[in-house]
Amino acid sequence: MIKLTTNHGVITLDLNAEKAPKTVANFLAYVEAGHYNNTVFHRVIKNFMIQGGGFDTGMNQKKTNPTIENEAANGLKNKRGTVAMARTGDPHSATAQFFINTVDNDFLDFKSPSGQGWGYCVFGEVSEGMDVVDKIRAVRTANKGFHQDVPVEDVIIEKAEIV
Amino acid sequence: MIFFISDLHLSPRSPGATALFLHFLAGRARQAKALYILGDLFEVWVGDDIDDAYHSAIIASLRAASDAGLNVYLMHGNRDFALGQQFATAAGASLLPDPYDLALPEWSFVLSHGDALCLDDPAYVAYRSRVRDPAWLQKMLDRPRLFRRLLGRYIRWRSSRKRTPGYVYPDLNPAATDDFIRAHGYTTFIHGHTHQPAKHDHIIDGIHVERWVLADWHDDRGECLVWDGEALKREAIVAENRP
Repeated sequence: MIKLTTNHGVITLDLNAEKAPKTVANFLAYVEAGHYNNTVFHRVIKNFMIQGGGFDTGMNQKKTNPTIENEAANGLKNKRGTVAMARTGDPHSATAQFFINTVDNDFLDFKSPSGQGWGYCVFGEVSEGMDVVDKIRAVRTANKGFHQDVPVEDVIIEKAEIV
Repeated sequence: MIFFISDLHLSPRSPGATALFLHFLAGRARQAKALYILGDLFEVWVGDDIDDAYHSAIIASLRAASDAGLNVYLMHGNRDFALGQQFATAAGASLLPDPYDLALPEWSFVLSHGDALCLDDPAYVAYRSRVRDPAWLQKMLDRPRLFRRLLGRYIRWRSSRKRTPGYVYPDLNPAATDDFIRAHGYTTFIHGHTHQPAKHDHIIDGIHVERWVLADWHDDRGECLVWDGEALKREAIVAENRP
């Protein structure tokens, strides 16, 4: 289990290493390296998801490890409370940023192994602290620099640890 | 807004930079009135008739941006000097001579790739005068496609060897640069080529002239120089992670 201590409370994640072995190993490596400590949820869209793990509190993008293979074809769905990897337009480009679905987002699920159809890889779910996620998704957001939907007051992951 | 970029050095060997550029063309670039690509969009170009999936995707993206109202202008660099009218037409771009005087209602610029002023490296000067000779270029383009494909691969391999850590690109010759600025009416000079992004202040004949050097692109980061009608500023192009 992963314990995310945020300034809004604690969120614990159950990771599914059986269905998403590479993605889970990648996430654990970032946790162990302390990468997520003092990063922010920098993109918060109430009826969509909360995304974080890539920027520090000054909105500077953190260095990442190489990109990983997209395991979205594992059958796990982007349901409310699941955690999945963010990525760029390239299906196999996830590094450190992840998101927690705040509603059922079927359109993010794997459809086919082609450009648009790859979807986003779910690799775990929130086991405790969904109330904290709901608190975070309700924070006020604005544009910051070239980023949209950035919380006006930082939502900080103070610590990420394996428990 | 007007955007200036250069030295993307796109090739199948740089998927990250390629993805960044396509993302840029589909998004941020559409907010500009014009996009000036000041050379070395491609790592190597051996003829407009060499069509493959990689280059077709880039041409299609340029075309889509152009069809959406973006004016795309393209200058040759020292690596993609063989880009021709067939490519430009397919991409919906206009080829520009080097140098090119860009007079906007509010300000004037002179644009160049920049390699013509790198006179301190005799080997480079000799190479440049050879490949920029139209007769030589035509002879090269008349070679069989297979030969040119292999030539392209060889050039990519050779340049990847040269760009070892610590390699410093030759810079512009100072006196020639001053003369160049003089000849172009002491106007703001924008160029690429040296991979040493900076803003230089020249005082020539008592006149202050700015020289902006564009940044080269990497797999995780590109850069664009933005003219907003009042000032130039640099903007990072980074790949955004999304669901």
